[in-house]
Amino acid sequence: MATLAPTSPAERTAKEIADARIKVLTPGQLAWRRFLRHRAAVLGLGGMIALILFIIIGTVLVPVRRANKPNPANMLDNPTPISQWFTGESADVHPFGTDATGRDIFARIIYGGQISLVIGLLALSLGITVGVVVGGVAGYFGGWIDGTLMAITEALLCIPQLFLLIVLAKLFGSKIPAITLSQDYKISGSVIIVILVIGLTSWMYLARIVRANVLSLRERDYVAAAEVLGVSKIKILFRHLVPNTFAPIIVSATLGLVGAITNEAYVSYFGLGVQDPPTASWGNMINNALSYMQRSPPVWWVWFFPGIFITMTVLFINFIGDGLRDALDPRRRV
Amino acid sequence: MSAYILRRALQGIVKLVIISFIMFVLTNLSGDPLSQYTNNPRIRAEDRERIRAELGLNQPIPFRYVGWIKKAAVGDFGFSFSERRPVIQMIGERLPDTLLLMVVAETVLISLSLLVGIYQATHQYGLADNLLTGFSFVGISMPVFFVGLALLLIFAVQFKLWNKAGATWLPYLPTGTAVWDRSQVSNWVYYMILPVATLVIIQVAGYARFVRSSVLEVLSQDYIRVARAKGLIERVVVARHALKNAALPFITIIGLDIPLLLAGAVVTESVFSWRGMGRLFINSANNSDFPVVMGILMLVTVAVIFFQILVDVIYTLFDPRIKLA
Repeated sequence: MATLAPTSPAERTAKEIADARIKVLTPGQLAWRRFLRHRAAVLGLGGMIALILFIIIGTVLVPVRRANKPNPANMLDNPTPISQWFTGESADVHPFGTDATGRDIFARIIYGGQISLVIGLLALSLGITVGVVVGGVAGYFGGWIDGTLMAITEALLCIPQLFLLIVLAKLFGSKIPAITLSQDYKISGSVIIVILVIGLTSWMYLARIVRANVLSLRERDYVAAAEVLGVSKIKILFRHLVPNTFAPIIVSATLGLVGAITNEAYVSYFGLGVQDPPTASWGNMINNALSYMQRSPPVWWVWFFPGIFITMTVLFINFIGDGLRDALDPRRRV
Repeated sequence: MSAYILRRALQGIVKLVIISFIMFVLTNLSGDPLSQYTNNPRIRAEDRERIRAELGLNQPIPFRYVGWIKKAAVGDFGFSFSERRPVIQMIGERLPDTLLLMVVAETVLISLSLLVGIYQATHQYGLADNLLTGFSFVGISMPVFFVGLALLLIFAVQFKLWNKAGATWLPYLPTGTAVWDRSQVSNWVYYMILPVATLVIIQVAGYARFVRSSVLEVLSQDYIRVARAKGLIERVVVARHALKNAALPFITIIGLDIPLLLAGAVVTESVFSWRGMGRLFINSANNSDFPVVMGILMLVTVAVIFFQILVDVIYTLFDPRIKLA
């Protein structure tokens, strides 16, 4: 039987060598190890997972009616004390209080969080796509293409992003009809506009980074080899060059996500972002609260909870970003 | 040096032309300034068209742009659609307030972050250092309006409540800052504390962290060891040798963060009803008052480009090794 046959000395040594060798780690595993050693980054990752779980479980447990249906009976109710959260009549329990039209702020945090995070992720993807394409094309093709694209990029970088956001938000306006998910749940078309506006104002830094990387990468031998083999330019750019700029893309993606979430808050704060009704977002919750700022006794809960959730989210992502920066830096060893 | 500045200025002008074209097209597409009259029965459709022609809004956008930039190049930004006054005059009324807020905030910000940063660097990994590093993350994570609203609520609304409830010794601050008597010096402090504090709080910890790391880097250099070895007291080592070299990257950051500060000022102005340029911008954008929007955008962009050049020039003054080519 072949399986019972004694192994030859040569085979045995090969096996012994393999066993004796230190476990080889891929660059990804190394980066993951470095990430885990970064305490704040692990905290951020844990916090972010908890936050996403909170929103998912909340969506399942809390009906969307509570977030969106005005209820004149309990306008500007104080937050319910924790001792009564599980004992009181569920319609009267408002862990974070209610807003000026009697909508439950706890539920609005959950549904607003969905919107804010989705806007953040989609706007980020749009920003990354534009940034990678502009930076990649400019860096690889060079010449007048590079000149034109970079002139536009540099020019746009001179305008503070908030000013750009306001002009663009005004430009697109709220002309897209609402999307109806269910009888109780409509998503305002303004969500799509906010995604477009934020995505289109946040690609410039990444474009610059990708271009700089592509400029040096395109001189490598493997690119020359690909060219000789007749690989098309587009394919060289997106299959061979762009993937090599992965690390800076990931790092700036975390910054971009932070930017997208705060920018959503800013445009919505100015009333140019997500429209309410029908859709809650953390930003427009604060905007709604503005009229009640000077009320006495203060109704702090209407703006405090969305504010603290924005802050927490941004803080967690910043921590993750800090860890990623360290983890993806190949000069650092574990 | 002057040749360098001249070239940068020329590049800046090219940038300005590109920006002005992009922004002109975007703003002019962004809405109809006459939309407020559409549902007004007193204004007939033909009148609306007449006004449109008077304002030049019936011409194609590239044509409008050429007309606009010809005047803008000599500093004439036209008339506001809604107030029928020169844009320059309207901005001129608001600019001093914005500058006041920004200059004061920036001065406090820079001195405070230098103090804190140097303290952190010289007491590395102490309790205060660790706390401040943590706080810097929280600081940069808070939206400006959240900080502003929180300060407003605590020191204006809640303090007033307590004051009225009997704690008359407790001072409270104003919620709005739109109109105040400028002749009394005490008013300046009274009305500016909260807006300035808002702008400082969001930035100071981040800047301090930056100062900390650049001072730490300089402190590990050989010439610092030499300075210590020749017997200089630590304060002189830090103040004279370390700080001067650590200042360079700090200046860069401040210069390049001007757009951020401007944006922060827009939000702060709206939280505290500060009568500055930021609020004028928001209102004009909402009313599709294109000439005012363009005027403010150009002013802001010129400021940004100016500071970019200034940072490079200051670089050479601080560090003679850098040659501007």
